[in-house]
Amino acid sequence: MDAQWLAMPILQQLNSGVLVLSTDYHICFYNQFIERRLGVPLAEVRHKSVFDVFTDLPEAWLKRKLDSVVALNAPVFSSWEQRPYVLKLPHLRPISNVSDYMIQNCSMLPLLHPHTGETFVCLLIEDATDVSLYQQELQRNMQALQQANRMDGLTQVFNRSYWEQLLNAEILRARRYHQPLSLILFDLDKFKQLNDIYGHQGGDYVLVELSAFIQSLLRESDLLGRYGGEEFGIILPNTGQQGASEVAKRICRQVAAHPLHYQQQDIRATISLGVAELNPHRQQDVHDLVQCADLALYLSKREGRNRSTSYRDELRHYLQKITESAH
Amino acid sequence: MSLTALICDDSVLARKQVKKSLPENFAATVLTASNGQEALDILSTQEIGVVFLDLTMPELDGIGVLEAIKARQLKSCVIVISADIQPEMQKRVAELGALAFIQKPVNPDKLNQILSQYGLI
Amino acid sequence: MAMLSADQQDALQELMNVAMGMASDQLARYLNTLVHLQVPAIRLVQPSDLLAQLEPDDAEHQRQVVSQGFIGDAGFQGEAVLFYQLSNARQLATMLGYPADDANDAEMLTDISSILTTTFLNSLGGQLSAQLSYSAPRLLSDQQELLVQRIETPGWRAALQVSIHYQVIDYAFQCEMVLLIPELGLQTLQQRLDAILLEY
Repeated sequence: MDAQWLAMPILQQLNSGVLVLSTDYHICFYNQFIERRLGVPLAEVRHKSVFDVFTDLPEAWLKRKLDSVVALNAPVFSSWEQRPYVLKLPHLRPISNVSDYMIQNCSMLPLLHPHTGETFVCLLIEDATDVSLYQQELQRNMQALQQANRMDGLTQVFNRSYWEQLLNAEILRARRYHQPLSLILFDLDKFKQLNDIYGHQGGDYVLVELSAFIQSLLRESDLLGRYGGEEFGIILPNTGQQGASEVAKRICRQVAAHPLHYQQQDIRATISLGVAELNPHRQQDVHDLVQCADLALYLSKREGRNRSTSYRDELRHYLQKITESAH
Repeated sequence: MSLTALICDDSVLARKQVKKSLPENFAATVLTASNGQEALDILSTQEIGVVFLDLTMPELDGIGVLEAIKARQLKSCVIVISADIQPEMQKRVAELGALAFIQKPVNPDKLNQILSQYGLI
Repeated sequence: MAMLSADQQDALQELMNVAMGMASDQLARYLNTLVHLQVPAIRLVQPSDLLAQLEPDDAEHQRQVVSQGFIGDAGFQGEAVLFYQLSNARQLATMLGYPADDANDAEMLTDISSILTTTFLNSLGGQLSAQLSYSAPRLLSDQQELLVQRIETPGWRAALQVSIHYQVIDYAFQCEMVLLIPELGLQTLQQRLDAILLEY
């Protein structure tokens, strides 16, 4: 069979746009795919400049691409991810609101006329509207997944592993930009007792309500995470020990003054806090900083709970003394 | 008087291509060298009528060979056969005394034309 | 990794030299400037060599990686992967007429690598009597894990690393091009090289 006759019908019915331009950007041909969507018969615009027919074409951008196809006799591509569309054409999904126009991948290919040797550029337009929809959906899901991966399922504050990553990053940043950084660790007082009185659901309720309440007391830049059980941490970027200590005292006070209503009862919960500042002269890592805050927290507990303690090096000697006297 | 020709290129394939592209009536003994230094060694021991010279080679490149030929005032004709075909490079080798510049891969007709132009066949 | 005989390797090196010469000539005309090229150093590489390429020179200079598939009439096919630095590419972009403040780095990077890849491979394909078509280039730098996975998959039989060094007037553009060639592509390549060797 002579297959020559096939070329034109297939070219016309192809589910991709084919647009052929001369080296001076005049339209030589486009197929039905483009003709129908543009709504202008080819005969009307043949030999007209593509920039007069398709308004809103990025002229400098397109000329640069077309020129390079001709000069280098090599193809050039445009992906929808970088430029959603080249030709402003409607898409056949009017319901979806992702874009008003057809999202496209475009290949620009050099064509040599077999007889005259003249160069033309063929723009192949592929509809990527569906792909871009799926991609957006995927991205949304990925974001949700990532969010879920970072959050504590119960309290909806950051989980330990992500919070520690954040702390690590903040330590590096504070060092690089010579900014202060403080850390508050706190613990819900007598959590075991709460669980005994109100049951585990009551205990969980307290954790959830307190997390939300404390979150509401913080600045946007402060990072609250659940460290484990009833222990939490707050990273305070760009905050020195004194500022952090004031924040800790305020949180302590407001928590104590904030009754939680659970099954027609008021639960009075208190917390104990420990504050530590990143020491700029010492190479501290996450572990060291957490240890300092934890030591201060321990002393808050020991001194009778519902209070805040700031870490000082002397605390170590004090702690040593009291543990020795205990033996 | 018989003519001796030297093909200097680091690639075996390129040397073969040049050899095979030489016209049938090119009556010369053909020697080969795989870098510029080898070529200079041959040039200093015997009289070479024509050198087919590649430019990009290890040890000593084609430019180095051209400079040495110029400095030693050798009478050898040099035809450069190179992949680096930029006008600037063509100008440079012409200034160093190369007779002609042929683009790789070598075209037999072009080679034939140049050889007859300079009376080498 | 003796995928190619010594003769085949010599022939391929020569074809690549010529291809690089043609490509730089085209680039020079296009950029309207002089492009000095050095002989592309070619070597067969292992996956581990490629992984080393991905190591950033320092924290601030992540390697950019762009991949582009190619296929020719005679089964000559593979994937060309370009490695280079963003800062390096910006200067070339300026010469190519990209606005200096163009925020779209991804497009600039894929364009540049498409130009470098297709001009070189068109010339190489021409000598191997294989007209090539190309897939759209894809930026892989932001999918490092995927790339590492891809490199570690033994889907390709040979990887040819072509180190390209362009010197354009007063600045140097340097990039590494790696051609990943699957079994079928390698066979075709060997046949083509043998045919060329037989011809001479």
